[in-house]
Amino acid sequence: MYVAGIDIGSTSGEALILEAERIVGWSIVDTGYSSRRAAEEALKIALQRSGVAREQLRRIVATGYGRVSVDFADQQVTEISCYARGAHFLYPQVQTVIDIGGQDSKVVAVGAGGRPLDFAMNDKCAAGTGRFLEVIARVLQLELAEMGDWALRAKRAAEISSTCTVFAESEVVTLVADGVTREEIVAGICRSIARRVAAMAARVGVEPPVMFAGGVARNRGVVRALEEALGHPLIVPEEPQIVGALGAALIARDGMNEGIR
Amino acid sequence: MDDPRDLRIRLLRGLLRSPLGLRLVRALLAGRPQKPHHYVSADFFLEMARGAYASRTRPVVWSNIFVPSELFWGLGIVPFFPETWAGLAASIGLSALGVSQSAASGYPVDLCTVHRSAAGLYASQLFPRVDAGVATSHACDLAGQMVGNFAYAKGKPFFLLDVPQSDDEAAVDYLAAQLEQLIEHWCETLGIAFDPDRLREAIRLSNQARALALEVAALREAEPAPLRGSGMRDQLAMLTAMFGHPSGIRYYQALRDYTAQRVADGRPEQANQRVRVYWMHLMPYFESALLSILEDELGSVIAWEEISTLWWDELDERAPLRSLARKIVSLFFNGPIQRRAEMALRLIRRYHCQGAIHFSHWGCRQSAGALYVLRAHLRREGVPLLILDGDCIDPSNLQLGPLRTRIEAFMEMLS
Repeated sequence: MYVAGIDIGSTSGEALILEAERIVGWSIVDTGYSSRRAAEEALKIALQRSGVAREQLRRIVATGYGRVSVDFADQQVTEISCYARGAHFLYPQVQTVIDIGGQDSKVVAVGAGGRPLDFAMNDKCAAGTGRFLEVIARVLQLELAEMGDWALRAKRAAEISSTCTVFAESEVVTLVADGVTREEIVAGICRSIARRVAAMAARVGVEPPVMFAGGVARNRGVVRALEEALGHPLIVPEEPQIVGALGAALIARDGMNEGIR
Repeated sequence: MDDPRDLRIRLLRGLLRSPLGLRLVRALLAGRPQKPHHYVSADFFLEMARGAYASRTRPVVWSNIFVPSELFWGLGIVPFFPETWAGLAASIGLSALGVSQSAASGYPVDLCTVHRSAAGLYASQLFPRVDAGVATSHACDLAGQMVGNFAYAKGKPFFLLDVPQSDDEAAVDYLAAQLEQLIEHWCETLGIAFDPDRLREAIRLSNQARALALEVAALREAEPAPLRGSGMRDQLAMLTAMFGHPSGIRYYQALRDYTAQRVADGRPEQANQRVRVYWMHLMPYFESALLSILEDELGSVIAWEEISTLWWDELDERAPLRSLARKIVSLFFNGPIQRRAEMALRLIRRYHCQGAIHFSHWGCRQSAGALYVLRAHLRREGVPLLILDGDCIDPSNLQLGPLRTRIEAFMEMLS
């Protein structure tokens, strides 16, 4: 029995095919202008990679900010529940999940069986999200993927005082003009994101072990800065972007087991 | 201050200032199908508007909402509550006008939109005349400052009631003495004659309305919940304006009968009831999908609202000023936050709520500033708290997408 989870975020969309406890395939696509189109494409690719036909899917659960657009899904569930469920499946001992995505960030306290106990979200401000890194990468003429390495090479982190993406951009321009190295600026940006997310996490209460998921978890500079800000080591899954889709697929599977159609 | 081309403002101004215009509004409302208690409240507020806008015989005193209404009705004064009228304006789609006009008056955008909207409506000359201002210093200090501003701008006297944080006899004595001074001050400045019997009558009327309101509160313990919580968003206006006036009795009688009928018939206003929640602080006064998502789509019933809570003990007509002083100091927003948190827990248990939602209204420090303590208290008792950042006046400051995700996630957690 195959089920699918689809997570449509503001920047990327993921689909994952699950058979019982086994992940048989997954995909990541850009969301683009249409959440529905991204969901279709992500699912198509995930099915191809899994060698599973669409007709073999028994249930689909959609999550993420674009979940309401996935009208072919059997159920829509929030990313809060899906991240908690997905994280618990990967690491059953996890008690806190931090997700930093393209345009939002969230912290979820995870209870028994992967149930969310409490959560906090930032989806109003680009500071503390992947968008912040994208903007700064453009200013510094760096590839997004290499920013983490630049941060780790820094001997010290520049002080980025602003918590607003737009103002931080001007601040970075000033730092460049003052001769501050790109390594130090990137390290400062990573620390700025980490401080902001750590403050949000404190509202929920950070209980270790802590998992770091979402696209920004690939940035080793942010991982290190967040570990410092939280005072806890972070578990980063091999594929941090698919935790939400995995949780959605698990909820789809649970729904099948409970006889929900 | 206003845009002279805005026909809407001129029409409204004319409507409000003319007894004929207000009678027309009353006739229009009477012809619309409403719940019985809504006819009473609409009539009451229109009567109050007529007194404030069109009458020249009785003094009009502007006040924050926590000065006891019994005082006004017992002294023959027409009260005007800018906060209440800002809420009313939002409910008829005038919040944008008020908020934008307040910016032109120099009020910063991070101030509470209730007060900014009131300031804008004042600047647009949509408010009635002011003969004096009065405010309490507790709960919301901005309210007192705004009423003070309005009175000052018109060269009218303003009286601030300094409310102690403690809820004890010394605080009551201190405040009762100020109430006595206030009455003397009004007798001198407004030319009113103080009639103790009239004040005692207002106290009697208040107590009768109070007894009926408590019956409504008891009826609302029923499961399924008989009333829709979103329909109770106007309760703060009723609790702070109607007591001491005969309409208070009529209103709560009608609401009591309506609620009792719903309970008896097993016919709740909200069909889909999966989870019971306690709503803290205000609700959007304008029409918003937020509450219909919560109630109809997700099946969350607002079993009780903090602002519907009648907080004071029965008043003593033999000692009216001490009673009113006690009513002021015993407000749950006054004093330590624990008082509010403990009341929340009592109500959560009484109405069998599985969780609580705090609506953090834009710019309101007095409520949102307490969130750390509130959350800790509720968490200790195993009650999850959802914090929604929004605005009860300005629809442009209420982002439905992010709020939907939070509400859905909260419901998933509770169920």
